[in-house]
Amino acid sequence: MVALAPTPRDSAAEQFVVVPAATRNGGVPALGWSRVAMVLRSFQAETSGIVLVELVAAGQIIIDIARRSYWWTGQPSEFPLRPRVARVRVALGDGVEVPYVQEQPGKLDELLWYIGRLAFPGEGAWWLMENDRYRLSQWPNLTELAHEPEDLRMLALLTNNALSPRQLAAASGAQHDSAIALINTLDLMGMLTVVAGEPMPDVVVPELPAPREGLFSRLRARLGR
Amino acid sequence: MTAFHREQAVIDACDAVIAELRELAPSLVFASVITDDGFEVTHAPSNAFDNGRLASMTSSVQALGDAVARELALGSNEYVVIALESGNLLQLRVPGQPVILAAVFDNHELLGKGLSVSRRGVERLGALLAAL
Amino acid sequence: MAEHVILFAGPMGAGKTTAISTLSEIAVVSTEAANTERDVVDKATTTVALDYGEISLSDDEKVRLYGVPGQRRFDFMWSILKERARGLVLLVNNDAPDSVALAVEYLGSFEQLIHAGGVIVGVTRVDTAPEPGLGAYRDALSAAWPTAMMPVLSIDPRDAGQMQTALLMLVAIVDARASIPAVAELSR
Repeated sequence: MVALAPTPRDSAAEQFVVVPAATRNGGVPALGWSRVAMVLRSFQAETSGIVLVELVAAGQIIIDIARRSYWWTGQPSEFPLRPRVARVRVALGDGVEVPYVQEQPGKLDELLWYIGRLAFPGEGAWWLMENDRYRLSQWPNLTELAHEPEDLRMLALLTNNALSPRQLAAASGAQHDSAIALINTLDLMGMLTVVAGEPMPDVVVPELPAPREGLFSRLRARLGR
Repeated sequence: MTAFHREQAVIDACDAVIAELRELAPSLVFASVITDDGFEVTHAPSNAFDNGRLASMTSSVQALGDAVARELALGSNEYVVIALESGNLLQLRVPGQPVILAAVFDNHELLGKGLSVSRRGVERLGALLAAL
Repeated sequence: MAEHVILFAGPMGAGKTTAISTLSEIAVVSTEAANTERDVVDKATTTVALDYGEISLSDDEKVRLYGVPGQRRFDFMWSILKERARGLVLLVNNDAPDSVALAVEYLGSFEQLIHAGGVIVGVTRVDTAPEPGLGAYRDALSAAWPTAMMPVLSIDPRDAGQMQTALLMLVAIVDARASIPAVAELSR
């Protein structure tokens, strides 16, 4: 467990402001992770500051933007799958001190990868625009991130093509939900370039060689992945 | 500490043996002594070939020959021959030393004679280097 | 018989031989010689021709893993092997002096694979030498090859899971490049 130090650091807490839950069409995100994702996405351009995510009847997630690190104040085994968010507080800019923590931090990209997969299940993140297409601007460091083999195929396709989630699913053979979850995650991590879309006619999916017959599929099978 | 291939005593010993080979076999067109990891100790005549590159290639060829020998499990690699239109390149390891003799003989020399001369050369060089 | 050649390149001591050993289903064919340049890189041996390993996908299909020597004096081996390669794993050890510049320099010798195949960059020894960060490599590669986007990973060549991830990433990239015309049609 982590001790949060008393004063004088308490005065630093005054620098934090509560971030109200984002809404869309009058509704707030149903899932805690969705709410957290909305906050983090809105601060993606910031280079320094601290984000405090306080969970109901659980620990706190502390994010240091400048160091691209995070701390979880609960037990490692208790990191939530479906958190209930009490509130999110933010203090931006230099000079904001992280509340006292002893443990070594985790990497922020690992947290974003985790949150991105769980927030907005089955739908595009609320900040994404319908009809937009996406191209990868940076590969995630997958040796440090749990992933599925189909993620590799989708990432490779996004390297050379600007695709919508539906197009990505069709080209890779992945489920639409998987494609949209990956798009949500990569955008949350700042690893996509958005190609603004125009309203498209219905897409006719041409006959493609079945993705499962390529070298990638055969190698994946051989390696048991 | 001076690298092996730059030690003067080593260079002198190799020069001496190459000179002896040239006496024994006028058909010797070129000879060099190279470390296992591809550095040239010395060569003769001085104006032949891009010697840095050839030294590296000699090392690679020797190592590939050794790898084939291990794969076949028929004993160690005794020598490598590259038969060229205008001559033969022979490579032999110097016994007990981390160096290789590469000798090119022209077509006037029988392969067997070239091999015999080269074997004598590496034996002699091995003894000289061991005595340093 | 179908073969898919994957090349492992990078400076001496980056972990190429280890990486191939980790992935290969066969005992690796190696061509090590005693290293006489201990002052340059403190390793007992160095690769002087190539390392060879393989993964058999079937009786008629293999992924061949070739490691080239790291020293530039063996660059004729780079020339020989890159002609056959579909993809490149460039390994750089993060504790090497000017490791970012080294990565760019080495990649320059295999530029054709950036455009015609696939390349990933694996940075080794980040546990003992955390700096420079991966971002420095990405920035340098992006400056040198603005239209190419190559994955940059931290990697431990002894770790089978990580090496398999890297290899699958590379193959996914190579496969995706081959499917570009069909996907372009899809995204019109």
